[in-house]
Amino acid sequence: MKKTLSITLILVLSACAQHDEQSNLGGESTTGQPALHSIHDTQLRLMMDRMDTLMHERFMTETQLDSERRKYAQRIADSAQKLSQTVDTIISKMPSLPLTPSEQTTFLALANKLHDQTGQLYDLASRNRLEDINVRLHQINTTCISCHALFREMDN
Amino acid sequence: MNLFYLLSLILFLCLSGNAASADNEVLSLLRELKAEVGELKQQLDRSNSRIGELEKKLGEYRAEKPETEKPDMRITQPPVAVASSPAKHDDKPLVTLGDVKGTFKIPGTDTSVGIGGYVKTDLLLNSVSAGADKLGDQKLLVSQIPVGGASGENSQLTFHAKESRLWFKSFTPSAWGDINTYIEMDFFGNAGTYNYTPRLRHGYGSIGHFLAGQTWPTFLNAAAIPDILDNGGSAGSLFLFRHPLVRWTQPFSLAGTAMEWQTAIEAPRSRIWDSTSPSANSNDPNAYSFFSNPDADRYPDLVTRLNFSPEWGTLSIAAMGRQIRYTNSKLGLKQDAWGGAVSLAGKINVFNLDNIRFMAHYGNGHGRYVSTDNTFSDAALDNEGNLYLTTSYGGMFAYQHWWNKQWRSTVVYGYAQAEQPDWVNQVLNQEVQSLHANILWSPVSQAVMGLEYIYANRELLDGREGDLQRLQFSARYNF
Repeated sequence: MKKTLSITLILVLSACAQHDEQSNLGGESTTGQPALHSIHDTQLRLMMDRMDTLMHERFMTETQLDSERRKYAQRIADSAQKLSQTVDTIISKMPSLPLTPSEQTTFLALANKLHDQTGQLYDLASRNRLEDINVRLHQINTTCISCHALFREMDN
Repeated sequence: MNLFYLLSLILFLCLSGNAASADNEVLSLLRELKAEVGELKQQLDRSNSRIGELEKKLGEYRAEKPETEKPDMRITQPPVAVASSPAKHDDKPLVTLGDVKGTFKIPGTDTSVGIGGYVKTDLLLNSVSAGADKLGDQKLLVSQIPVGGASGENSQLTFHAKESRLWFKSFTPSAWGDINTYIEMDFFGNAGTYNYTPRLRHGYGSIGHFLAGQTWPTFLNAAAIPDILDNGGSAGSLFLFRHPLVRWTQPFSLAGTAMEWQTAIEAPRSRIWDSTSPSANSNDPNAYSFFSNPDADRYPDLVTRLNFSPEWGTLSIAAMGRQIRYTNSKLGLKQDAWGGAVSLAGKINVFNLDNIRFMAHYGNGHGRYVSTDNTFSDAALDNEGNLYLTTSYGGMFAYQHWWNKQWRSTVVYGYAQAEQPDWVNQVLNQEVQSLHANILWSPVSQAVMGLEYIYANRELLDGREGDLQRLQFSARYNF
């Protein structure tokens, strides 16, 4: 039994170690902001998902739900602002990255695009435009995937 | 001489050989550089092609889901027409989008209105029936769980759609703060299984921080009510009822955390076990008529509550003071006593969308607020006209797990108990408990279907018990 437990523990630990190695691959480790923008992006989507689950709360009144949605919108605005600041930091770190001029141009274009989109998300969330937030989140996600697809593949 | 020519020839051949070798190296280098430039060009082409592809997909996505533009909340902007009649109103918008999601504006006003609701059908298979036309067969009422086998049939089946709801809300910005109104109805107005009498659930208005009307008691934190199919609620929860009240809510922030302080005066309704009343002394534990409401209240229930809303959930602490009053003109009795209660409730987000919900409450004279309807009294009146407050307490704990965005489950356990004088009717409830476990499926956000298992039990002061097991299937469609 002890042997089985030990083997299981070793397997779990090695799986964790492999996961860590994989998560460190790619350009994000060289931006000086390891996965911080990904964390903000994940937080934004989680908050949006939590706000969506309010739809199923049948014991709260609609005005209470509106109030709860406004609280989530405010949190999304705060998170969008933090994400925007992280993107600024990534842009400032770009000269130190091992990129060719053409890669720098593409990288900068995508980073600026992400910056603009997070600004728009902040604006929408601040004004409680809940129905438009999801579309903007999808756009941010697309930009993130584009950047990761291009620069993480190159790094590999 | 021959030797000179020979050496010159050798030198010439060596030098010409080195030059040829250098040329070859340069050519080779140029070829490598050309290949590298070609490769980089291809890489750039691939990058541009990928960006173009993603932008195309985004364009297609936008085309599928066009953004709806609407006026900014509380900012005066020209209204945007979403529907118009070509015959008479080409230049005037008939309907404009409201300031809150899902609303539209009344023409010529700044008032946004919204309507909604849902249709819910419940199929309940009860291990034992509470009796003909009893609400206890339609939702959990622990006080109606049969004890002693005197009531209805075993394996009884009930179908109803009484929980179907309609609501109307309005929102009007004003110099004194936002004016909100809200009305919500369901069809639980009559206990008859097939009697669909409409009932007002909520009906209130608010201006700024001031609310007046009928809604959840301030003592109850509605955010902590678990996501169950049953409309009755957990036995350990505070009673899910609504009553008239007047409330002030003051929002503020403490160390960056959003908070609210609420204070309210609410409708009093003393519920008493009156030893002088014949129905209160019935020996039938299934009589369901042990308590009376003297309708002699002089002070409102006084409630105050503090709400914390950090990012990880919501938490509330509430305190209540209430006067229980009894008068009987025939006997010349006038009795009153002040009681109080406290409660702690909340909803805490854990992993991903999973959450914990809980309620805990303790007090005397607050039996009307505890468990499901008519479970405990606020006070008991002895034969000499003395009033004794009932001490009651309970708690509820629920865990909700989201298997994915379509499937979720909730498990809830609740328990409540009352401490009453020895001389009260021994068929009154002493303790109640319940367990709810469900699995719900939402293929789209507007529809929910699910199956729920319910176990509930009540124990009388004389030690006898009643158990109920129920399987409930529900389908709900929002609009």
